[in-house]
Amino acid sequence: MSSSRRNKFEIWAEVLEFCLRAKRTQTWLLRETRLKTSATKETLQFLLSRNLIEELNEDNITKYHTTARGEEVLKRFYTLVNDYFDLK
Amino acid sequence: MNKTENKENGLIQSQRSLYTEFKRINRLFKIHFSSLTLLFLLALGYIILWTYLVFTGQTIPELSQIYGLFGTIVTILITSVLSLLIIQIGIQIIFYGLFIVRGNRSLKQTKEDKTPRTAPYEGIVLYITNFSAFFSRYSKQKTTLVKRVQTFLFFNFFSGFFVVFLFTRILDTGSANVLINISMVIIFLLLLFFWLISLMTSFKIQKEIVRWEKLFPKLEEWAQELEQLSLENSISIDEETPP
Repeated sequence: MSSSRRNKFEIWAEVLEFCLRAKRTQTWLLRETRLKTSATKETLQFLLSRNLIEELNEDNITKYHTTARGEEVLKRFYTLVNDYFDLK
Repeated sequence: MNKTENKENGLIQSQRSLYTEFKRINRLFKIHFSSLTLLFLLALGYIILWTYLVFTGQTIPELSQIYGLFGTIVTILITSVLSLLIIQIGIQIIFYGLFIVRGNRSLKQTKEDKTPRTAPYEGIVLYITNFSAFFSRYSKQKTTLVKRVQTFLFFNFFSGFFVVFLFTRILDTGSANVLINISMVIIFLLLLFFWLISLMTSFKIQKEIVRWEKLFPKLEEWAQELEQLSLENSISIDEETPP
């Protein structure tokens, strides 16, 4: 799957969910999201600027974790999908 | 229960209901995929067996018996049409198989989760994005995925019906031994059964695809909401209170 074809909601929601379970490094996210380095950096910058993820420094390794605000936003995403499945 | 726990439970509840829903959709795709595969294999087996019987002279097609050379030409045409329809079923198998592989890979439940803050389900977003990627790949302006699935549904009905109907024309193996005759009748009945299953699941899949198609623009709106989020800590989107 080419990264250029992916929508913003796909990338942002993926990163938020990845960082929800555990603290993730940029390399880990790069591998899992299959994005280019520049696109990953851009995504992380955006999410950091909106306070949706936080940057943590552990043993000189920078890791990212979803904040409470990020959880709320992700919950909103889940609710949107849930609402569509409730409409039967 | 304090506010933080409520928030966590709300998130987990959302994940759980989505996980259950996606499992149901995956099951639907799997049933459809399996019935199509079995239909494909049985049809293939049937036509190979029949061709073998004709070439070894164990049976003479009914049409050839009645109409001679003209009947033989018609029989060859019927066999060719059947083969094309079988290939068409094969293409559908690849189409649905691709999604099942992607869906299964993304959707997994982590049971051993000891960290209280994290949710016990993962791959929810990946499942959605896989579906979205599927839409982007196969849904063009002129031929949307819904149209494509509707075409498949039509072909499922049309080709399935003709496969079953045309097989009744070549069902009578005449001089072939009893065992072969019984085998062909059993294969034919199984064909009919799996065709009906694939047809029923096709209708359900079509409904699902229509629902997903309506959902994606809403998720785009969600992304726009994120772009408009202020840099402060306040959240402008509505918070849902868990029951």
